[in-house]
Amino acid sequence: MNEPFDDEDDDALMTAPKTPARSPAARESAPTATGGAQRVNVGLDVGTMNLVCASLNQTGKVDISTLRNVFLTVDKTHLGEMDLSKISHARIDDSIFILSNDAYNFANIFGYRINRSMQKGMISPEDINSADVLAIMIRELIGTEGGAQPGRCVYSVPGDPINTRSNVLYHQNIIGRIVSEIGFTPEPLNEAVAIIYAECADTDFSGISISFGAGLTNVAVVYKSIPVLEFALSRGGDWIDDNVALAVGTIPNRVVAIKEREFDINRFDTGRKKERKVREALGYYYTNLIHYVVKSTVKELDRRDLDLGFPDSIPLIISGGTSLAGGFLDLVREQVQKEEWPLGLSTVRYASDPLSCVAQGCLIKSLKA
Amino acid sequence: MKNFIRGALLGSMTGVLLFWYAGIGDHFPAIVAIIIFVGILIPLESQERRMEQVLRTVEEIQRRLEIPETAGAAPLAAASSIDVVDAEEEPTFIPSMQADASTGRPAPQKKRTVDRSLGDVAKKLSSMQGKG
Repeated sequence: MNEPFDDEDDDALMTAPKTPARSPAARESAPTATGGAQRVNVGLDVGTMNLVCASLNQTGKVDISTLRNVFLTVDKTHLGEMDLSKISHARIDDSIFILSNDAYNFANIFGYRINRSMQKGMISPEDINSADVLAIMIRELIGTEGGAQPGRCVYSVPGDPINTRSNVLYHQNIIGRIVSEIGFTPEPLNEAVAIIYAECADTDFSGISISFGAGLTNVAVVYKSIPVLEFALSRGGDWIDDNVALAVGTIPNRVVAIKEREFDINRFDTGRKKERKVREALGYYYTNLIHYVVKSTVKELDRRDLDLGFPDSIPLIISGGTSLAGGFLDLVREQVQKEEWPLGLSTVRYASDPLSCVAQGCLIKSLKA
Repeated sequence: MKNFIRGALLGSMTGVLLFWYAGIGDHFPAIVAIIIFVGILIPLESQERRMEQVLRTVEEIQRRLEIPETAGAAPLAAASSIDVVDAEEEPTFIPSMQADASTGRPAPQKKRTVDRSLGDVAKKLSSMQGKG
């Protein structure tokens, strides 16, 4: 069974980036598999919490750049003559938007709640400026410089959630428009399908993938590279954070901070009393999420009445930032075994790189042909 | 002025005490001068710090009053209002933004290189799906 979080595996898979400069510079003359020496193809994972870009570097390896998909809105008049040249920001009308990690720092200093340009896997309807701010961040991430010409950009989109009324049409079009304004030829790809492209070449791109993201959980069944079924469930890491915060009387930011400190679903005996309470609540909500997702997936597979009698068993690939908690995979396996699946599963394993496999799958798709 | 008087008083008193009890009368003027100088500087500096603190607090209060309106509501409220995109609705395209060209430094990105060649995988996918 492939365990990607062993130190050895990490060391084998990842090396230090060769160019500390901005990613566009690093992509200036990267060759593409499409034959055009100056065309740059990229895979873009547009996630609720992170924007991830995958591109080929000059040695043919994959460069991964990640940007936190958050911002903070401040009124220009409040900043006065403050020098913002060292802070990542953008100005729209009278507002200033502090971007990405700088936004986090500011929010922590002043005790503000951070803004998210996306919620539940799609562009946030909460803030009218969400799409504009997202456009700036995507441009910083995938924009090309120098002589490089933008080629194809395959970007990830979620599936339509089956348990809410929302759908991805608006979100997909907006991201497509942003990408094409940068100069790339945009092409959407379901994020769970992208995981199969990145992880299942050895099974001829057949498999089931479940991507546990911050806003949504995406599921796809792919057979011989053809998507058979794609859908999303509107529960993910944010759902856990919000509910834990409500249960123990704290704010979601604090829950996230604890969650990101070596959290194990089965252990809540570390930290002070309040932290132990948060860890215990996290354990319950993680368990509930896994239970809900596995049950809903099997139910949906049954409900669609598809002919899933594939000749071979296929792997189930687990991915996404929310799946990184200790004990997560064991719990998924446990839950998977309890259910009666309408197709044969050969293995249940993590993606080799759960934080970038969607972007890698998109890149593979962009290099195709 | 207030600081000067306070400093002068503090300095003088300390000087007199030193003169009587420590027997350093020969250096008395120099010592008093140093003490007065220090006595003025310390309160001035702390006063300045207090003023900065007050200004920051006032600014912070102003921001707290203003920011919540623009900085977003609680996530749960957001979750309940997420169902705004209707399948029947015509997608509304937001016009290209007019961001100020003088934005700050680029947002810091986490970068790494994955030691993996995707060329063969892409070829395999191409052969299975056909070109396009």
